[in-house]
Amino acid sequence: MSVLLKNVSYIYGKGSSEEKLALRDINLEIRQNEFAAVVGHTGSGKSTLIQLLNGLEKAESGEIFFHGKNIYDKDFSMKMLRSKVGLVFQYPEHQLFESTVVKDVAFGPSNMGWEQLKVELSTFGALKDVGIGEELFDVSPLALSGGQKRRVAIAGVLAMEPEILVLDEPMAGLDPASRKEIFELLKKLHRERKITVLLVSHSMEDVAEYASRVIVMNQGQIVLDGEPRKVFRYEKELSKIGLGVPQATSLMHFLAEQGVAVEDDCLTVQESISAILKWLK
Amino acid sequence: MGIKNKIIKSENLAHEYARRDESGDVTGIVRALDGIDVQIEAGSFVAVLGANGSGKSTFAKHLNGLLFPTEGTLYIDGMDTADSENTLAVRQTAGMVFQNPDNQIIANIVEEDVGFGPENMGVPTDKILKRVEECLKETGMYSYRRHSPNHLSGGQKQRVAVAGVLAMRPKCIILDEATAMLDPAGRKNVLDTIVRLNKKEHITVILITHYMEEVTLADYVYVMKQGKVAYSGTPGEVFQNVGMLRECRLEAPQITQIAQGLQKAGIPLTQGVFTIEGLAKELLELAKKR
Amino acid sequence: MIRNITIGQYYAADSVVHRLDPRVKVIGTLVYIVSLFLFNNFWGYAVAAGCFCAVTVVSKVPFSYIVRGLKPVFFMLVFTALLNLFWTPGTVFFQLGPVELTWEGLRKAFFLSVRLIFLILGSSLMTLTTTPNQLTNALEKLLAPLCHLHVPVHEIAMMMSIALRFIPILVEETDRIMKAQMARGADFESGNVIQRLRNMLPILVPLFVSAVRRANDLALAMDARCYHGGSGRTKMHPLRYQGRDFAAYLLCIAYCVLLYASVTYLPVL
Repeated sequence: MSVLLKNVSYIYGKGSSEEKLALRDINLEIRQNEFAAVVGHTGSGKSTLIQLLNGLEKAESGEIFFHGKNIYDKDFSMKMLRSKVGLVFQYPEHQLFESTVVKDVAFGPSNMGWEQLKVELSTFGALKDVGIGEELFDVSPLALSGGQKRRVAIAGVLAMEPEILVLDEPMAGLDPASRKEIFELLKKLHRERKITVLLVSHSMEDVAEYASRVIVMNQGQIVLDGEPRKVFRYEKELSKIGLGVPQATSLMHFLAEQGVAVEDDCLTVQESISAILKWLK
Repeated sequence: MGIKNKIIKSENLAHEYARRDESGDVTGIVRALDGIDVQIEAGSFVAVLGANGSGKSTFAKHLNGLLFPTEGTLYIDGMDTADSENTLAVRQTAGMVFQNPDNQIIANIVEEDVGFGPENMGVPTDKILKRVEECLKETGMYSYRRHSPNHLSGGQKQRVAVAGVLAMRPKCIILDEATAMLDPAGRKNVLDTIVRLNKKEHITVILITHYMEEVTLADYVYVMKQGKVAYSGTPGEVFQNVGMLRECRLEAPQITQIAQGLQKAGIPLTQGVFTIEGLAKELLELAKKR
Repeated sequence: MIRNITIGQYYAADSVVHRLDPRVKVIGTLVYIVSLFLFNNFWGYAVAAGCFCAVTVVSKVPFSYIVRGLKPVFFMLVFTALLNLFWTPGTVFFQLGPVELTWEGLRKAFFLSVRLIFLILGSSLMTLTTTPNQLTNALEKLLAPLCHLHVPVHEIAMMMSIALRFIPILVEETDRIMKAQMARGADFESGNVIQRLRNMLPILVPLFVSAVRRANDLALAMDARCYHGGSGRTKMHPLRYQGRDFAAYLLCIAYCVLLYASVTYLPVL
């Protein structure tokens, strides 16, 4: 077990005229070495949820445990939590501020109070992981291309050597090839470093291909939670709350509805192709 | 094609700018657009595809008279955009919706923002009021007319921006990655609005995007790469060209990939199928025959 | 966090006061504020208070809302009152060691506090019943004669309006950047003044970059919508005086006359 949320509720804008119950009675366990995706339309509470995980927002009621320890206990170190649960915000390139790429990535590790050598090692390691070459180390981060900036910003969180990497729509605004690069990076970190990945995404195709678990949120609650193959069976229910399923899955559902006997729980292009070929033969 | 009206016509259009270092010295010349020849018919729906940094946005800014060609010429509805006398008329003819919904709404109230363009054009007050009402109804934002834009969702803000462009009575609307920052529901609402304007009002639409599914709405597609038009054709033709797409850092939608995979396996499908219903119907008919 | 700050508090309600031309409200408020400093007399305050209450009732804005405007200046009020109370020479009525209280001091402290309170209440009533946009419009129109002196009135009004639009966006952005840096272990609370200022850099630099980017985007968006300054521009909602606006001006004059009469002809209190 790595993170456990028990009966967590959160009120947005407490005391103001826009007061709203953003999360209600959330029970959730993020298990070690998972690759999970959180999906939900804007305002469903997913951004709040991920900010609770590293203590940036505080729950109104309920408890959150990190490795069995209550993070709201007085002697619990938030600083430690923030390094262990690395949070990458949406459009993270907007928070780059240092004069060089290396300095910016080193910001997180230096704040951890580590020795200089450890800071440098983790900084260069993170830059290598995200595929930023040495020739860019002393360049101003603002002079990079959009995709490079995004990767430097992710490196800035990776350099803190988190156990869990939480990302809010890390692919937003990128072209298909850059999206794929980011996903391959996450896959590599997950597989080789055993980092737990939790990401918010709007692309069901990407979720189906990479995640092993999908958490569906609506109006501050978790409405579905499970393997993509199981969750994407509920196409009608998902579309009711403004979400969809991968096109490959949707096609098979459509055929099944027309009375065709096909395997209808396909997730990827390849699976759909073989299922259709099997049916036609 | 016939002798239909060409609303956009570019001849060898190029745009260069100087890259400068910190002290302001020129360190290199960037050719953001490089010999673009494009002819777009009035009333058509055209998509422009390309990776980040391929020159799509620079091209869009030319269409709207925000940038001027450094080489070649560009005509918008017969007007040479390089002639500064035409600038206001060009901007009014080809209205632009930008990427970031927050950074293009000027006023603090929805209806006043929609009125901003006509105010600048010197339209009389009573006509502005009529146009604003019409355009807000057209984009489905009329009930929000007295709201502050700060309380709207991204998709709603973009529909206000579309209304703001419509209120200038343009012949053409350019969407410069206008759906990139929206969630799926917001994207769908904006696209539905745009498709309706194209079909009903016959407004020419130039949709700049890297969402492949949006391209299926278009009549014709230009694919850009490093400032050049790398390929052009109908969506079907473009998606068929897998190698070219990969080279341009793009990817066909899943449904097209499935159709292609089936064709490769010997299933006789028509070229360029890219809706779920379309593919399913073809498959069902094939199954009946067998 | 920081997003709880509200700027330009407007109280939406359907009242005659809300519907008045904003120019009337700006001028009316100015007249009211100036009038407060022209007398030193209980009757005058009674008239000022009575008229203020009458307008408030008509405006449908709850008193509690208006009084809330006093909160931020409460300490300043108490401070000025005490200053006047202790340091005004005159007839002593209470003495404790070196501290002397005089009747004159009490009177002066009272008048000054009341003046300040009415000044703040009066201007809050105006901002509560007038949207920032209307206010900008009113100022643009009222200051229009300055155009002849080459003051860029239209541009100033446009800047004010854009600032109003972007303040909440930048406040939200500050909140987001702050959180993003906190997620990287940034600490904004400890250290001495210089350290704290240096700790702000991770917020200030991205905020500045973002503000410049937004300004660029906005300038393009305005160009794209044919903006070319104030010349040849029409207005969607031009300010036009209606019957009720003239009536309000008359009431304003009536208030002045009443005030003058009460201060001059009633026995001095």
